[in-house]
Amino acid sequence: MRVDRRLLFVIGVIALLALFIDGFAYVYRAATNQPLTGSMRGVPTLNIGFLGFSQQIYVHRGLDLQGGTHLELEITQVRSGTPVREARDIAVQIVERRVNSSGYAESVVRPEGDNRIIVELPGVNLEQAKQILGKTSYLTIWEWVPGTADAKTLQELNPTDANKYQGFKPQFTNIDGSMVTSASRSTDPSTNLPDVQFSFNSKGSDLFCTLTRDRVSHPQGQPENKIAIFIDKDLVEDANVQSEICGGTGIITGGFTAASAQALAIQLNSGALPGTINLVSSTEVGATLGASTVKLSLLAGAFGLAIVILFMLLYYRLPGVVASLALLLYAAIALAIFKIFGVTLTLAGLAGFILSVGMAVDANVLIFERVKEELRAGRTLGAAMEAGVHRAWPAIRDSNISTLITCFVLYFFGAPLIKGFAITLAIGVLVSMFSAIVTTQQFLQILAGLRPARRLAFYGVQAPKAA
Amino acid sequence: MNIVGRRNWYFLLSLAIILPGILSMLFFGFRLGIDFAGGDQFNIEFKQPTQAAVIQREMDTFNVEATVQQAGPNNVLITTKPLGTKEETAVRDDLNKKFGGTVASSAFVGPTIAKELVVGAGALILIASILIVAYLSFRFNYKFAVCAILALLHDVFVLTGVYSILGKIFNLQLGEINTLFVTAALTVIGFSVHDTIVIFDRIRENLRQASRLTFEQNVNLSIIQSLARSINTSMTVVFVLVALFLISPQNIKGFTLALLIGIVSGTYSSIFNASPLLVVWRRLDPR
Repeated sequence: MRVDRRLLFVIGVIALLALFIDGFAYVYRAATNQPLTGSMRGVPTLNIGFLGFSQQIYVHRGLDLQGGTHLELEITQVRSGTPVREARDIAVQIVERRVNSSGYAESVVRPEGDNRIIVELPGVNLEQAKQILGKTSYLTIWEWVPGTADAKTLQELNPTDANKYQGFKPQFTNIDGSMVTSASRSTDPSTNLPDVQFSFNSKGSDLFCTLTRDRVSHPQGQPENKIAIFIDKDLVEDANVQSEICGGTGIITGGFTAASAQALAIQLNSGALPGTINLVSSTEVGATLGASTVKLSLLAGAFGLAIVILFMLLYYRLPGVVASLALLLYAAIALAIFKIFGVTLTLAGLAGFILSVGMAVDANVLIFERVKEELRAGRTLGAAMEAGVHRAWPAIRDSNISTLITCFVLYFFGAPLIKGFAITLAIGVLVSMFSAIVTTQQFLQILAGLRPARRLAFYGVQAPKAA
Repeated sequence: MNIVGRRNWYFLLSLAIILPGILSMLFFGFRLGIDFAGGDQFNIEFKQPTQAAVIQREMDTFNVEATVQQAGPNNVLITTKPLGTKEETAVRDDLNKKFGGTVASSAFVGPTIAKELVVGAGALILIASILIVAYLSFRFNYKFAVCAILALLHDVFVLTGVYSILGKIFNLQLGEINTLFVTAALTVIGFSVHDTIVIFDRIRENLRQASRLTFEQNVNLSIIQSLARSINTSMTVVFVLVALFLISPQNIKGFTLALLIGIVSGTYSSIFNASPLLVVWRRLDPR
């Protein structure tokens, strides 16, 4: 096979494209008149107007590399009548609202499985995260009736609160946060104290009207005159009812500061959660640890690449130069793919990438060993190179496909951490096949055409005797 | 060099490594990380050098089944049973107030998640193996596929056995079985099959060419022809991994070590186990 000019052109275009994307941050800085070093304003974005193309180009770092908190929440005790998936979707919306109103950029809230929610909060530690999410609560309204609380009630409510009044137990009124359409902090005009106004939907309004009418018939100050508002398990308001409330709106007064009234209003707004949210797992990484991990991985990657290049040069000589070039191009292309497709790089992902470097080297080693054999058998350089690539191909194909099968299984069935590993390994393997079969082969063919490169000693092979 | 002729010695060596591991797994099991056992883990960083023993004494007062390990001069790794929010905050505040410790990283895994992960990891290895057997049966034949999987199982047993011994008998945190370990095991599977296939490819090619060699001689020749490649590739990967192992922080040292053991075992098994097994099978069933 001769040097294929069209293929070389394609390699050149891909290489330039990859380098452009890898160095895009500098292009962006130049285009937005920023200095080339130091922190950068904005996110590098490539806009190609006439194609309608717009893509942010930067390395998406996982939480373990940039610092942040990853939480997995589970919805349990879903209210009867609500399908689990629907409850989950409602919960996702509520959590999203909470997270967004706290102003955390680049956060992720997404459903996972039937009853789980994944929340990712970059740059937030666990305690802040819990504060943000802790308030996404389920609001219920209860009335006090004679009797003692049974086991089921004690499970749903905090026992101290449920047994607040001797001889009375809380009974659920079927009014919950899902019926609250809005709530806001306001000020009582007569006392000038903060209070919370809220409004119900029609179902809630009817239930609340009946409830207050009944409550008002009991003497003031008695438990039976009160309505108890619970957020999750805790009693937050145990109010006397002074008159029936039937207009679909109500006011909660008593003992608020401006801040606590504001907090309750937010809780009421997000209180429509049709179940209980539990934290089932969390991972938190501090920003400093993340930064030092990045440094370490870059160091390991550079070190590894250096060793590999050194080894290839010493052992395979001239083809080693070709392999090193192909390897650098491979690294540039893989990085460009990570950037342009927004592949999130995590520690496990970096491990997958570094492993794929090993596999890229392997493809080159396979080819060179075959080339050596062919040269020893007395073939000409060009023929040996062509045969080498040709005969190494089945091994490269089959071994890489079996790795891709493993990646496929890992990606579709694995935990998020394993997914990250699978995707970078798969990209790495695919690019490495291109690198070995197209890039290395073409470079070798160029070598074969150069007169000074024809000495067999450059390939670590002694010339066959009396050929 | 006659590798196939001395196959029984090589099988024996494999057994000598795998058997203690299997015994250790049977009698002692594994040292499970929190992602499998459930629990809380904190990597606490202090402003000055701090001994793990000191923090252990402090943590014992909380009565949360805490174990504290040194993770660096200024770092300790605390593992506890699953904590509630209040307990957790109490621990953090206490360590911060008394020792000036801040949380560099933390992880919490509830008991339900832990169970799912154990089931998931086993299933992943099984599914991947089945698909690989299917592919190899298609490309080679089922005998090759089964021998490749046997070599793969060899590597999985070496790896898990060594980790059982490290974690349970030597009681090292390095020998912990966690999600990262599963990732490493899966990588090793990929690599092991990769390595085996390269040699099998050579056997396939040599068999196609008419020659006076017996099957056994043919396999031996193929192994020797592939030897330079097998060793060179593994060496480059091993170089990279040794570098990674030396500089990696405590929490991923176990991961790199697992990769290292697995790659070495994978190279060994594809040269000394997978191909000789083909010969054994051929002798038992000469069709």
